[in-house]
Amino acid sequence: MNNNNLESVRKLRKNKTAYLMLSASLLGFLFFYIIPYFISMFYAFVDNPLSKSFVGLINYRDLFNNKYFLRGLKNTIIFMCISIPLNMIISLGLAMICNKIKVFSKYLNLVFLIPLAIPSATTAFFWKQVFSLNGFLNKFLGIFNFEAVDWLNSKYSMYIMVFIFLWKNIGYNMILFIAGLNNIPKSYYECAQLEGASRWQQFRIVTLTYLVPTFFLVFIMTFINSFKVFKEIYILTGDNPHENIYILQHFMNNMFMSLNYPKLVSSISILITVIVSLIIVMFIFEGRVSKNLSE
Amino acid sequence: MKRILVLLMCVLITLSGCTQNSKDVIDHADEVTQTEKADKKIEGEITVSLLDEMEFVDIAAEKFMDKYPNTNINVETFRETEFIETTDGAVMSVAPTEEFSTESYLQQLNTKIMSGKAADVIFTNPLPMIKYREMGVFEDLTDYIDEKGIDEENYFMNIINLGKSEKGQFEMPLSVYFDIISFDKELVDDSGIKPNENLKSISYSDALKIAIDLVDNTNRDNTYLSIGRAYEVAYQLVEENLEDFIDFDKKKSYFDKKEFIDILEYAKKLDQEGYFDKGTIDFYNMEYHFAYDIDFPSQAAAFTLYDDSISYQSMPICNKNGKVMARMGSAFGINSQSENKDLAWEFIYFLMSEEVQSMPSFYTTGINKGSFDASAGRYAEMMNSDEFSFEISDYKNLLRTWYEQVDVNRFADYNLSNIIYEEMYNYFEDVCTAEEASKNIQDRVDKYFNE
Repeated sequence: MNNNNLESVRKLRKNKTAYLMLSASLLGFLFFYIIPYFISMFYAFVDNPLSKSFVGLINYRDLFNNKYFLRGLKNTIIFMCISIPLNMIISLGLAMICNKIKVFSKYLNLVFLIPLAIPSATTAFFWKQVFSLNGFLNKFLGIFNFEAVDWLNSKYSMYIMVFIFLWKNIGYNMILFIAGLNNIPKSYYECAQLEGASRWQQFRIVTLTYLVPTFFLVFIMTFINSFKVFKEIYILTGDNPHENIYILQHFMNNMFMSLNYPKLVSSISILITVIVSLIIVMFIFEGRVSKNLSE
Repeated sequence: MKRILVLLMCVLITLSGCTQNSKDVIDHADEVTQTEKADKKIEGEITVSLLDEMEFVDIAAEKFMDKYPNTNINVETFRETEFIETTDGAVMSVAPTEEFSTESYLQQLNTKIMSGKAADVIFTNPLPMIKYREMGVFEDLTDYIDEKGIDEENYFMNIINLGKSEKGQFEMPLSVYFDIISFDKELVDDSGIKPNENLKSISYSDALKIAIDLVDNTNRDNTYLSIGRAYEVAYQLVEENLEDFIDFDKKKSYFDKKEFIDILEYAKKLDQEGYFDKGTIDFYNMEYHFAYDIDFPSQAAAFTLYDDSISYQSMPICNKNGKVMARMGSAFGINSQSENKDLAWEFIYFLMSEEVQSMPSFYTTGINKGSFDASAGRYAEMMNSDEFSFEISDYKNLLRTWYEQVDVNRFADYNLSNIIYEEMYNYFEDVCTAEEASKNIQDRVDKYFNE
């Protein structure tokens, strides 16, 4: 056995407990996600889940000719392009404010975390009371003689979806950013001040640079959470929402309800490929940036 | 990488090969089954899936097992009907909770179908049948029907045929729902306006024209078109012209047509002009008149035949082509993956029998002509009293005449009718304009077909 192998065995023994504990979650992930995913991939290549005749890549071709899949894809991309950056900017801003405030900062954190603890059904009920035709918002706007709008069934529905997403997820990202901000050594700011750097320069050169690893983490978490907004939207608007908020999960859910597993699995595989590729790219990029920072 | 691709291709080819083989085996098995059908035995075990409790199915299952001791029929009911008693002693059913919603039932059923564990016989009324037929969930019953020699002599074939589609018959209706329209006799007497006496059925639009004339030509107070609302008028007019708005074969919809918007605006205009009551009628202390009334056949027949009936010329509603429109009641299908299709069919055939369809728990008149007199007679006796009476034989004859006129399916799919109903309702509640409603329906129906 050469030295490298001996070293590997030694490392393995040293981290035995860690690997043992990780294996439980890994097995769960394997049996409940990875294996079922690959088994279900079979349906992407058959015409029908019951007759199961092989059709090659026809389901994928059909999917890219399906205007509802494309609509779902377009709306999902629009939603992500608006909500993810907005979420990151607002939560960073709030994190910086909370970091500056010395009094009641813990209570402020708690206020932003409350939406995370509220069950989706309750959240949906609350927003329905706000945005329905006879809801609070229309009653309020009525005072100023504005005409009532069925917000969730109008051209504004995408903004409502973004708003609900932000309301629910800002607190979580804010906490991550606060942790990231606290990890930046105070001495860097002192040094920058001595060099005559302005507040903007301190923010740009010190804060943003050393928050890069946190940014990656927040981005990935926000990206994943952005798919979860479907639950609230589905409870609010059902399987036939306004065309502006018809997202990929609506398409998939409706495919499940109509037993169209070939289309369902094909769209899932496309989505998974995009998500995994993006996350891999992000991790590689983050690894490189972190390495540069530590050097 | 190349190795992985080659391996993947091998797996896919093997899988497709296996599928083809298993299909061949099934085809061959079907041929064998056909030749052996004549001397087959009725035995084995099947499961029947119901959304709601159906007493007659439970009783029929018991009777079937008594008749064929080597069989076992399991009836699985998704939700039990719960009743509450109100303070004035009335008994009301309680709306199902989210856990027992129709959607939850469909999710559970879909999962079972995909895992090959769905029931052998499935109640089809709440299912999105257009989608299920496309996916081949149900067995075509045509051969079974032919094999049993089910014909006009013993069954209302016109009702059974409601379960037919382009690709075969995947549902067996046990009963039927359709509308009977009648006019207010006093309003007819006042004005002398009445439909052609030779009419056996009438389109809703023709009936509506007569009803408007009846309202316009009377001096009586509190006279309105019907107890319904404007959106129900619009819905009836859409159903009557359904072929203009939906092409089921091409999976296309045409709700963005001007004709559809005209229907919506026409119905709303009637509402604005005061043809519908706005909740002003005190039903117990006020004289009031509705120019037309729409009722279900068994009740409409009784109201028509009472000595001092206020109904004038009751008849079924037909579409613009003169075909009486109906909806299947209590329809069943056989799961195409069932391992005991023959027994499943025998049970459905038993549900169609005179024995089952004449049971009091069957409630309505069914498709079996032999049981028709018993069921109709039972309802007629219930509606007969010292105060209001009619000849029971007249009742049966009238009802039978109406049943024989049933011709075409109304909406083949509940999801579609719900979409149209919901969006039209929004228009009449001033949530959207007629153009927006038309666009929304067009988009939703198109999506339903082509998603």
